[in-house]
This record gives sequence, structure tokens and C-alpha cells, in this order.
Amino acid sequence: MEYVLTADSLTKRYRHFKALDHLSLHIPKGAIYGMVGRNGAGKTTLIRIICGLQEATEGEYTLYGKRNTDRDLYKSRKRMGAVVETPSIYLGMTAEENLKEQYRILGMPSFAGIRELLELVGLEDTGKKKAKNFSLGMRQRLGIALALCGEPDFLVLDEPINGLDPQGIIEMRELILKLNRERKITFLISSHILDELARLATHYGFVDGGRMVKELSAKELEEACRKCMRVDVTDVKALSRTLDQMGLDYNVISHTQADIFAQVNLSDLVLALDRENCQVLTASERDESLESYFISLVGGASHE
Amino acid sequence: MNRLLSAGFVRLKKEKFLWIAVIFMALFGILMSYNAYQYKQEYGLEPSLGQTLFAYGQFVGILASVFSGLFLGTEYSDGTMRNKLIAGHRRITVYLSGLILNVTAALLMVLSFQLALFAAGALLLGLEPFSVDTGFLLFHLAGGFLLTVAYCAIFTFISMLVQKRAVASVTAILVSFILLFAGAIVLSRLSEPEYYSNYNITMDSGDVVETEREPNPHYLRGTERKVYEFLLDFLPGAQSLRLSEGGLDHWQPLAYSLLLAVFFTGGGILLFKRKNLN
Repeated sequence: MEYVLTADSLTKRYRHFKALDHLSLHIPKGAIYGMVGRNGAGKTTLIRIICGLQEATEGEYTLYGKRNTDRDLYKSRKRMGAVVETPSIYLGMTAEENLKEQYRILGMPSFAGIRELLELVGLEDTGKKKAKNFSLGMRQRLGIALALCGEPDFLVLDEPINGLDPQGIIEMRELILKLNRERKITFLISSHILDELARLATHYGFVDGGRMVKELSAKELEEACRKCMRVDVTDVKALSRTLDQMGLDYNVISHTQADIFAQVNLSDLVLALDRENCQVLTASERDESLESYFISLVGGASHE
Repeated sequence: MNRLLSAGFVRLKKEKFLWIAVIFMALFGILMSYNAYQYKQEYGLEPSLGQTLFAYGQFVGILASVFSGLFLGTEYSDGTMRNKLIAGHRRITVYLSGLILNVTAALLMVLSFQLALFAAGALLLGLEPFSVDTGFLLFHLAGGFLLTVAYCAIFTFISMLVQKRAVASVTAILVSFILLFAGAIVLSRLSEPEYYSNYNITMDSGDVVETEREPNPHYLRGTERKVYEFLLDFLPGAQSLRLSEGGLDHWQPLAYSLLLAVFFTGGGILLFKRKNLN
């Protein structure tokens, strides 16, 4: 698999506080990589390091094949855009002036494409209105437009839907999906709003306490979260034999518990198990969400 | 670097404070010429405006500090510093472009003062009051330039290393005033006469008694005087006051300005390279 960004054992210390603790990460090309973690988990620190705003204390990362220790890493950085925390825009300038300024910073030969960018983020009618008078959603979209100057292949968005109203959230989601599908832009999106991330991400990385707890694709997550019936029985071996005979998909959790991934006729199952001298003690339907998967990974304690 | 400067100059043109400062300096220049004109009208003596061309010295530090805090501080308050680094610009070029923009703005203020003074002076008094020794003129132009660069280096150092715009602005302004006051104190201590002049007292009897001249206890002597003389050359605030009176008479102040500019820029780049930015 081709990766846009990989990180290996990245560590960042601020005096005695460890914000990142040997974190590793793999973002495949073309993915929308959702980085999930509670506040203070280390998501923004990781993004700051990737963007060159801070140096890692230990470990390394590779961006488009260039290591962070390579002198020409800045060439790879030109292929990326980012919105870190708040949108980085001159509040005293209009949307168009902001984009022109970014074009100059990037050394673009002309201002062609600015109109298209404004239309893409829905800010084409803002005219002479200065960014300081924009709503939060408009500023966020202008921040993304700035990050899109220079046609990057990789976009990093730190909490892009924080503070947006429901309409703004929908617009942001549609914009990200459009850019991913039409322009083949790879995304790294950090968020703690899991339901929203679940609508976008093709890959996930679960971060907690500065560590990467688990990385998996959306397909793998779907498998892990799919609907099932959890049964408590007196003999799990008998249950396995019965389920095999019935041709049902299942997963043994413990010596008394198993998850069955199918619609089961409970009466048939109880009768079949009875023939094996096995009793069903409890049966409950489970439908794990991204949120409950996250909680099961990192634990529910110390939530803010 | 060229890209950052190109973007920076466009921002510079839109910076309101720069134009307020430029207008202020122009008005100050016109006022100085008008004062000289009134002086001539009142006393009939030909004023000298050649050295007045450098009267900007007393203001340039303060104005540069305000400008630097506002202009470079915006990069942090609006978060746009990030755009430059994410776009692949190196920290050294980001820092140096900030310094160059600061120096450009300060020199525009200086130029505005000198042009306004010259134009108004020439209109009111003709060109005669501007006739000065070429050596004096070149030496003070160089001194003024290096002093402006030194001030800008100090304020760029503060503005690039303090991430909060309000804190950076207040710190830069405070430093500019402290430097100016320190310079004024040094200049005043060194101006103390060595002796109090003798004077005559007329007694009740009508006799006139001449007093002995007395040594001034505040007069600086020995090592202390040497330290103060060094500070007079070294401190930008002291240089400002001397420049504004056309009183730069040796090369050491110019060398110290250059040294300060190199020291603060070199140190600033080193610290900025290691700085954790948000």
C-alpha cells in the first residue's frame, strides 16, 4: 500500500509532560483518515509536528517519502495544506485578498483559480466583506480554501466542524467528500465528534494518552461494530458445535459468551442447545457504534 | 524569500498604522521647518536645518516598536504564520522577511519626515539653511540608518518570539521607552559640569564678594565616567538623542548599532528555529 504519511514512534515532551508517546501512524494515499481521540489525547500536537510548527522530541515521520530529518522535506510540505485549530486567515482582508496573499506566499504565477476556489467553498458572493465579519463556518471554509491554494494532494484538518451549525457541518462534510472523490485529495481529519467522522472516514486511528491505540480501515471497523446477538451459555463448546451445524457466523468472547452475527430464531437455538445439554442463560442484541467501539478501546474513565 | 517579501509588501501597503506614522512624521517635519521660519522672523537669524534632518531620531524607536508589534504580531494573532511554514518556507526566511519589512516601514517613516522637512523648509526659507558639510551629512545618514536597523532588529526579536500580539506590542513599546529614558539619563549625567561656576554676592554693606568655583559632586569621574561614555555610544536610546541633535561625532555608535542588529537577528533566528509554534 502506498502511504502519504507514516509516523514511527513519535514522541513529544513539553518539560515533564509527554504529549505524544511513541505514536505510530499510517495514512494510505486517497484515504480520509479520521484521527479519533478525546481532548488532550495528542491529536493537535501530532498535526503541529507534521506541519513543521513543532519538532518531535524522538521518533520520525515520512511525508511523501521524505523523512523529517531530510533537508528537502520542505518540498514534500508544498504538496500539503492544513487548517490547524483555528483557520489561519488575515481578519482585516476580504476572502479574495486572503487567497491572493496565499498565492503570493506560494509563488503562484497568476491569480487564476481564485474564483474557482471561492465558488468551491461557497464564498464567491462575499465581495468586500472582511474576514473578521465572517461567521465561524465561513472562516472555516476560507481556511480550507487557503489550504487548497497550490492544489495540494494532502489536506490536514484539525477539528474542522468544531463550532459549526448543523447546516455548516453538512456543507463541510460534502466539501470534504467532493475534494476526496473529484480531486483525489488524501485527508487527515482529527475530531472528537465521532458520529460525523463515521460519515466520512475510510480509515481510522484511535489515539489516547499520546499513543496510537489502534489503526483500522472503515471496513474493518464495520466488521467489528456489526449487529450481533450476544448469548450467555453454560457450555460454549456446545454452542460452537450447534452454530457450526446451523451455518451461522459467530465469535467466541469467553468460555460462556459468544456473539452471533445473524438473525437467529431463538426457540430453534434453545432447543438445539438443549439437545447438547447446554442452557441459554441470557441473550441480548448488540449494535456497536463508533462511539462504543472507541470507549471499549480507550476505556470510559477520565472522560472530559 | 522573494515570495514572502512580495506578500509582505502588499500587506505593508494595507497597514493603517504605517500610514498614520508616515503622516505623523511628515507633520513633525513640517512643524520643525515652521519653527525655524518663526525663529528667523523673530530674531532675524538664519536657522540651520541641515542637522534638523535627523531630529526623527527621538521618535523612530517608538514608532518602529508600535509598528513591529502590530504588523508581525498579526501573523500570530491571525495564525497566518502557520500558512508560511506549512507552505514550505524555512524559518530563517520567515524571520528575515519580517525584519526586512520592519526596516522598510521604519525607513519610510524616516523618509517621510526628511522629505516633508526639506520641502517645507525649502518653501519657507529656501535652500540655504540646508547647506551642511557633506561628511557630516553622510555620517549621520549612515548612523541614522544603522540605528533604525538596530531598533528594528530588537523589535523583530520581540515580535517573532512572543506569540501573543498584545504582549509583544506592549513589551516592544516598553523597551523603546526604557531605551530612550536610559539614553536621556546617561546623556544628562555626562552633561553635568565639572565645577559650579563662580558667582558674585552683594552684601548688605554693598561689598561684592566673589565666591570660589566649587567642584560638582554629581560630575562623573574615573571608571564610572568611562562606563557612562560607553553606554552613551552603545545604547540605542542615547544614540537616538545624539542623532536628533546632529551630535554623532565618532564611529563607535555606528559599530555598536551594527553589532546590536547582528546580535539580535542571529539570536532571534536561533531561538525562532527551535520555537514550538501553535
